[in-house]
Amino acid sequence: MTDEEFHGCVERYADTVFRVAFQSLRHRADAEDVMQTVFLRLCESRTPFQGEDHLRHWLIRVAVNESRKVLRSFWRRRRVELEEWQEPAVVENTAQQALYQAVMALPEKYRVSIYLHYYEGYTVREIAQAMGAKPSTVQTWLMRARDKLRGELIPLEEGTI
Amino acid sequence: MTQQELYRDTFSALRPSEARVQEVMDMTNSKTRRRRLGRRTLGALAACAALCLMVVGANAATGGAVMEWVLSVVEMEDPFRAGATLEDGSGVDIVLQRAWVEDRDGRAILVMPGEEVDITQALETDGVYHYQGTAEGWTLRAQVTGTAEDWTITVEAEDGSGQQERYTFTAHPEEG
Repeated sequence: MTDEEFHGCVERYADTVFRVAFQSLRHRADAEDVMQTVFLRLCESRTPFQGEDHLRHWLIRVAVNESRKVLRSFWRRRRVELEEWQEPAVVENTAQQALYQAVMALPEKYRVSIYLHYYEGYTVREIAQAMGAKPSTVQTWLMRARDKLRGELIPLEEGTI
Repeated sequence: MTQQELYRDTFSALRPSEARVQEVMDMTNSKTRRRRLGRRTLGALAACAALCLMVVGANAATGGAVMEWVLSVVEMEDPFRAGATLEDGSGVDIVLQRAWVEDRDGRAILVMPGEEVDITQALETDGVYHYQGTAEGWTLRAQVTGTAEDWTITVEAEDGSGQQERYTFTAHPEEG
């Protein structure tokens, strides 16, 4: 991959990779570190990508895996949490605030699967591949996430999965 | 607006900082296994002029009882030591364990302030790895022995004016 191609990838997918990591980690600095790690892996990768979708799926899968490593890391298990996971820049109105708070309060696997489905448009099978889970497990995560959100919000539409 | 549209609107505003994206772009200038790290590994207290946090711990002074301390006005004295003020105004030094070894997919990764190094080969071949680098204006030299699970790191930090500090960090496999 040339430097120009790499820069193009970063421009197209930095937001996506960051959001996937943030859904998992709920911490801006950690998510930005994971973003850097993912693109470093891309720099060093010799994987021949078969099109844009293949590249996107690869980036998201690596982002999920790298975020999990951070969650399991020696440092993260022991550090003192200094800041809440509120993101004032994200929230523009009370509806967004309510949704943001409710989603961020979900367990990590639910947050990530909800994001991949409702934001990235992933099918259950694609989410399962990205997260290393069975499709039936992902179905359960999505269903439970909707159930948890239902108490505070109008339920997210199930859509086509 | 449907809830799905609301979801997309809410989270589309969540974006990385331009500075970090530029750092990623600049990575093409260096593709070595030693890479600069972001704010996560600068440690919770680094680069903070004033901070308030709660530390929970137990030591000989407390007779093993768990105590809570609220600290404020934290300043870094070197990459591993911070000076803080307790609620009663008294000062306390905190040693931050900012050097450790992680097992990542079978690889032993040494994490130092602002940098990571894959030391798998050195530990397997020689049983020891010698590190030298810089962080926050200090020269750091470290010796790592053991394995990715059971390791000891001895770090010497020198600021160029002759001031030297020495720290030893260790970890053993978790029991149970």
